[in-house]
Formats: sequence, structure tokens, C-alpha cells
Amino acid sequence: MDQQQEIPAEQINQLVNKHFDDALPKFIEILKIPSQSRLFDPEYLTNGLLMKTAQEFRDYVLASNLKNAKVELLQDEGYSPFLFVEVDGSDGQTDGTVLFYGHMDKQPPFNGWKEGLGAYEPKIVDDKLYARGGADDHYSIFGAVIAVRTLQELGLKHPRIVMTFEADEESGSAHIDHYLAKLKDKIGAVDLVICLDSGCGNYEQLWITTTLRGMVGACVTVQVLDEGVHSGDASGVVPSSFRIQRLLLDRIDNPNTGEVVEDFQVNIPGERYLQAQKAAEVLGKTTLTKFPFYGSTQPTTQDYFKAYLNRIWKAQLSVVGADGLPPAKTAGNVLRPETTLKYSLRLPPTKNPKEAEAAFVKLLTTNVPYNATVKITGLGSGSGFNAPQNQPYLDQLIQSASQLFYKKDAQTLGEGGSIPLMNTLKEQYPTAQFIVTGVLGPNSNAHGPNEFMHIPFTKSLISCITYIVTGLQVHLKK
Amino acid sequence: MRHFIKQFSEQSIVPSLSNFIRIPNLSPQFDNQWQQNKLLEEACNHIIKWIENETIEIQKEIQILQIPNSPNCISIKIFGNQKQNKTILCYGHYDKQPHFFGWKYGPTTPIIENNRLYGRGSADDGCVPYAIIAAIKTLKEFKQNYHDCYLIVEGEEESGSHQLIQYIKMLNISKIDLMIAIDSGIVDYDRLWITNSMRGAITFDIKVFQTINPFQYLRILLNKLEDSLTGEVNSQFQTIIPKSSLDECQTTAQLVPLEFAMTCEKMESDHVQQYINRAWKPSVSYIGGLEDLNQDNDELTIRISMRLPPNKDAQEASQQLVQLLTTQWSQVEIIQAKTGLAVNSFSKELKNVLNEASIEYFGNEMRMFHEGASIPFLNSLYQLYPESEFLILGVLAPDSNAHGPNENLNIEYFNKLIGCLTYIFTSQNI
Repeated sequence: MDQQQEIPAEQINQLVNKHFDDALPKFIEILKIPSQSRLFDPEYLTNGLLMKTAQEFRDYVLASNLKNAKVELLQDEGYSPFLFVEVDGSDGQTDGTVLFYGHMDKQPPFNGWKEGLGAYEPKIVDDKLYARGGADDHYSIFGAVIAVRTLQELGLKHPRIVMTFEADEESGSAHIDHYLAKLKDKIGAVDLVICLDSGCGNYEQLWITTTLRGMVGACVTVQVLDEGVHSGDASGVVPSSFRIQRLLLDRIDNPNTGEVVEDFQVNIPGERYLQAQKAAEVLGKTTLTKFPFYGSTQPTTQDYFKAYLNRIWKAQLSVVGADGLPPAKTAGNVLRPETTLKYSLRLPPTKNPKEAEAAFVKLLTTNVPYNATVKITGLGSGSGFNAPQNQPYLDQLIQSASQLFYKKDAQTLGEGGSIPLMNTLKEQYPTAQFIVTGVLGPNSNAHGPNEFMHIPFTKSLISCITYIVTGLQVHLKK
Repeated sequence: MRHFIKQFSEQSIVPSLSNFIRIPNLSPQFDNQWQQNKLLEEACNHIIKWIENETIEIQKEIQILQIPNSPNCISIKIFGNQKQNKTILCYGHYDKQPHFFGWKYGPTTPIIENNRLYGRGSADDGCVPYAIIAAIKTLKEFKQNYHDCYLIVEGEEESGSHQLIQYIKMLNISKIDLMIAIDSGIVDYDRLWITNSMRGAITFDIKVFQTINPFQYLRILLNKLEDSLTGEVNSQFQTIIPKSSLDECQTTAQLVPLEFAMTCEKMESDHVQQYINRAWKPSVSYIGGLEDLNQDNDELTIRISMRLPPNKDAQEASQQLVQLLTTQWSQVEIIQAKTGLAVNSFSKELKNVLNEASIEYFGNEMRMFHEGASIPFLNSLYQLYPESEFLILGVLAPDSNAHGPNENLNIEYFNKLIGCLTYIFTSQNI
């Protein structure tokens, strides 16, 4: 077995910092492009904004002069663009592949940005880069490229690397299967997935996401009439479709506690339970949300833990859209014919999404109150993610990296959100290990106003990744 | 008398009413040029002219009441010639709803088809002054006596009757024995229908704020207001139905189909109970809002229209609503609150008169109707002379299309109603 090389942490740190600072102007330029992901922009294929973003990223990769690299920007008919980079291993090996994942598409701008800030007006304030898409997830392309470039310039070994940057993540990653299938042979066998689209518990140490929730959702329409009727004439005779929706929602969760029914829950695996306890201690008060009837005014550590566990291992129902109701100001006294609500149910990491879909449909369409007509449209689900056990060398590298670049231990994190792609990759590459991480920490506001990317934290994260990628090269060599 | 009414209707009323239809005098709320285009004034004058022509031989006093920035109000006093004159006040309005779309011929094109007169304002409510005058004229023709009769025709009912009470107060009428308002709904054309009760209505917004999951909190609040399983509204808003109303409801329910184009079952399987519920129980309708749901917002607003029992005071209900649903994270804003109407049961004498009239002209007994909907100004009118008997009549059956396209007046029913009015105006027993 080859000697584990001495990894020069300080040099990595300096070079990563330099490359990041050099890339900032380009980063800022790309952040100004007002592109939005498919679901939010019906013209996403025709207005050229997403494509421009992808082209800018491609140009950046090319300008970074990675050795033995191939860069391909794909845009198949009817699909969002896809950026694919292949870098041969430093020893020329073509097996033992590390796959980097990130995405180039953005959430819509939202409103409520603070004075002087804007979704497409990138600005650095207090070491934070404010703009839509910075932390979620534009930094990932820069991060992956800088990591590889740094290793190459320092002459450090690295395994074969592929980078897959999609542009449909915020719309549910509907296009990535197509591209992954197309690139299957070029990608080859993957040994490690590095996903750079997750979060962190604070900006003080390296966070590794070990679980992600899944989800199942649909638009549920309750119809009671063929057409609207005068509410004076009909209310009390015709049941309200909104009231029936309340009854259907009650079949999924208890509004007083937020507890979802057993059909969607799982038993929490032992070691995840222990990890969650530790994480809750580190996260402390930040686990508590503004839930009004949360209870105690003097929250205890038990409360932090319970809140954290609820967020990462339990199912949770949200209603994220409504249709069939006019705006309040122009609403007339009509008993409306139907009410549509968009149900979004987060699932525990290990809950089978297809089973959840079936349970969802059954609950809402059996024994419907008043035999009202219930229509379910757009039913979809995404799997949660429960990271496979890493090999000891990888866990060690992770810990060392955190100590070197943050002076603190690495910490596991359970995410309340979902990245269904992770489970897809786990199924496609069943022997692969996973490092899921990111820069979406407290107040980073990924989908809201005032989204920011913490610059020093991000630089250290990239240094950690750089360190880990070179550190594992010797273990991946066949 | 029937024959006379029919002829008079055909030869005098319908032509004049048709010309009334031709005037597009929308209510001020729907026409902010009403003062410049003077269409309301034109319609008002048109009616007065017709009345003047047709009542030459009748002792009367015509006044045009004026309040600045309000359409004029027609006031006609017909001097009665009974030994003991009672005082009757009749109400109608000459302003119209907007035209909407989907007319077969046109909102201002009066056409008679199948003995129905089509056009905006034909049934709601242009026909009323014609009906009253026709009844008086008929009695005069047949040398029958009638009571003192005021006819008030205002010009802004569809905009909320803001000045109606002021106009009536201008007349300084010390006592009214019977008020007759003809602007309500009826169930069928087979008998005289009297609206005896109407539900009240409150429109309000619930606003939820500063919570992570406002929709979930809204569900908790709504559980306080309305039982999701049964639709039963919080007991604070329920009342006891008076025995007389209960009896009337039970009699009437058989005739009222309660049909809607439903894709589900009715709330109550017993038809009679269903009718009673619609007349006397509060109900909640979720009419608008939730626009903020699509975003990661910590705020949410929903607009609700709640119908109140006829004998529930809307101001009291408003206060109770605010108290019930205001919390650290929620607020209630009352948009509008109108008390319903529960008419005191008629004297036995009046009831008999009405029944006789109905049997005479329709061959069927009269029936009481209990409106699920509201006509807010009627309560104000009722409160003005609480000692008076209050009779709410109408010509608006479900197929009259009052606020929609192809509004029409059933001429045969209209003529029979005139006949019933003659009964009332001449009766000693009101």
C-alpha cells in the first residue's frame, strides 16, 4: 500500500483562499443573472437565462485549466442544461471515482430583501455574500473546481473525479435521470459522492449530513358543486368544500400537535438516535422554532432534542398552496364549487415513498365526507436518504479536516429538507460512500429573502473537501 | 277585477315598464357617472309621469325627496277613503343591477316571451310602483275603499339604501300600520309567498401572523368556530327558533326543493330539517384569501362569510367573533355585519286576509318563506316602525335571474299579485 502522503493543510488553505477570491468577480457576475428554475419560469427554455448561467459556469471551468479534464455542457431538446466535467486521476487511473454534485438553477427572487440588498444585486456585507442562489447552490461549482485545481497545482494526488451539475434541482430534479443515464458509461463506477447542496448547523465546524427527509405531495381538490351558488341559499345545505378539506387534513395530522399519523412514521435506527442527541446539544436553542404552542417558556435540553428529532425523523404536513378561492378583497358571497389545497408531507429518511403515496391516496379517497368528489393530481414523491456507513478512513479524514480548518470536531447533521437525488445515487451506486454537506446554515434563508453565503465558512469547507479528496486517493487505488 | 287588472297590465303597465327597461339606469355603486348622465333621474321621472297620468282621478300627493349626492326618492301619498283609514307604506326601488353578460336579447331590450317580460329591472324592482298604483286604480274602478297608502320608491337599493331611512323620516309619518316591501324572493308562481325571516350576515377576515406554520394554526382557530365534522357553528352564534317560525318552516319545507347542482350529499338527509337549518342556523362559508400560502410566509389571511340566525344581533355576534378568534397570533377584522330579520308573526286577522287573497287569485294558500340569504336594509326599515306589521313580498323566483342575464318578470304572477294587493289595501282587518 502506498505511503499516506503528508497533506500540507496550510498551503491548501492559502491556495483555496486565493482561488476563491480570484473567482469572486465571476461569481458575482453569475449571481446577477435573473434565471429561475423550471417550475417558476415557464420560459426557462426560451429566455436563455438558465443557459447563460450554465455557459458562464462552463467558461469558468475551462478558464481554470484543470489538467487532463474534459468539460461538456449538454442541453438536450426539452431539458434544462447539464454541466459535466471529467478529470483523470493524478496517477492517470480511470477507476476509483469521486462524483461531485451541485446545481446551477435558482429559486425565484421572493420579496422582502433588506434595504440595499436584492436577489440579483450581489453584495458582500460582514463577510456574507447576499444574493439569490449563492449558497444554494452556485458556490458548489466553484468549490469543486477550486478543490481539484488546488490539488493539481500543489502536485497532490487525487482520484478520478467527475462533476455533475444539473439545472433542475429546485424543480424536483426531473431531468437528471436522463442525463445520468446518458453519461452512465462516462461516469463509470462511483466510489464516493460529494454533494454540495446541503446545510450546516453553524458556521464553526464541518457538518456532514447523514439523513434527509423524503416527501410525498399532491394537489387535492374537493368538489361539492358544479358551479358556484349564492351562499345565503346554499350554506347549511351544501357542505363547504373547505370544511371537507379540514376533515381530510385531520386524517393526516393533528393540528394541535402537528403529529402525523402512524402510516407515515418509522422506527428511528439506534445509532441515528444517538447521533441526534449529540447534534441537538451542539445546536442548542436553534432547534426550537417559532411554533406558538410549543409549550415551555424555559426550554430544556430535552426540548431541543425533541424538536430536532421531530424535524429530522418524523413526518410533517404542510399546506403550500391553495386554489379556487378568489382574493379576499374581491370575494363575493358565493358557496364555491371546489377548493384545492397543495399537500406537502415530509417523510422520515427511511420511509418508502411509494408506500407513502399509496397510504396518502387511500386516506384521502376512502369514505369521503358527504361523498364529495375528491381529485388528486400531481401526486409525486421523493425518497429520503439515510447515509451508508462510511469506512473508518473516511470518517478519520473528515474529523482531521474539521480540526485543521475549523479547529473543532466534525458533526453529523440530520436535515429536515429533502434531496431525493441522494437516494437515487445511493441506489445507482450501492457501494459508494457519501459526503453530503453544504453552506446553508442559520439564517442563510435559502428560499426566502436575504439569502447569504458565509464566505469564510465556505472557504474552509472547500479546504476540507480538498484535503479529504487527496487524503482518500490512496484508499481508492485498486 | 281579474279581467280589469289583466287589461290594465297589458295596455298600460307593460308598455311603460318596457320603456323603463330601455333606460340603463344602474345603481350609483355601479355607475360613477350617474350624476352626469342623469339616467337615474330619467328613470325616476318616467315612473312619476306614468303615475301622474294614471292617477288623475285619485286623490294623492306626489313628492320628489332630495338629499345631495343621492338619487331622488319618489314619495306618493294616496289618500284613503275608508271610514277608518289605516296607514300602509309600500317600498320599491328604481335603480338597477349591472348588466352582466349572456343575454338572449339584451339588458335594455324589453321582449315578451312566454308571457314573461325580459330586461334588466323588470322584476327587480321596476314592476313595484306599477303594481301598487294598479291595485289602487282597480279598487277605485270597482268603487271599493282603500286605506292611506304611501309609496316610496328609492334609487339606490342595489348600492345599500344609504339614505332610505332619512327619506322616510322626512315624511314625518307618525304611525304605520302595515309596511309592504316587494323586493324579495319567492319559491314558485303558484301562490302568494311571504318572506318571514332572513338570515343575517357577517363578513370577516381572520389573519394569522408570526407563526412558523400559519395554516396549521388557522385550522386550530377554525375548530373553535365551526365543527369540521358536522358544520355546526359555535353555540354562541346559535339561537332558539320561535315556535311559530318552526311551525311555518315545517309546513313550507315540503314545497321548497332545495336543489343545487351538487356533486356530493346534502348536509342533512331529512328534507324538513334541512330547510329549518338553512333558515335558522348559522353557517360558515370560506369565500376568499389564502393568497399568501404559496410563499414561505409567516402570515395568512382568510375571508369568511358567516350567516346568522334571523334573531341574532350582528353587532353582538361581531364582538363575540373578535373575542373568540383573537389570540397572540391571530386577529379578526369585521368587514361587514348586518342583522337578519325575524318578522313578528302576523295577527290572525292579517293572516286570514293574506290567505284569502292567495286562494282567490292563485287557488292556493299563501306560504311563508324563510330566506337563507339577507336583504340588509329591510331590518333597518323594520326597526323604524316596530309597531307596524311587516309584509315582505316578491316576484323573484329562482328563474327570474335577478342579478344575472335574462332577468324576467312573470306577468301572470305579477297580475295575480296586484289582485292580492287589492285585497290587502281594502281589507278592514289589517
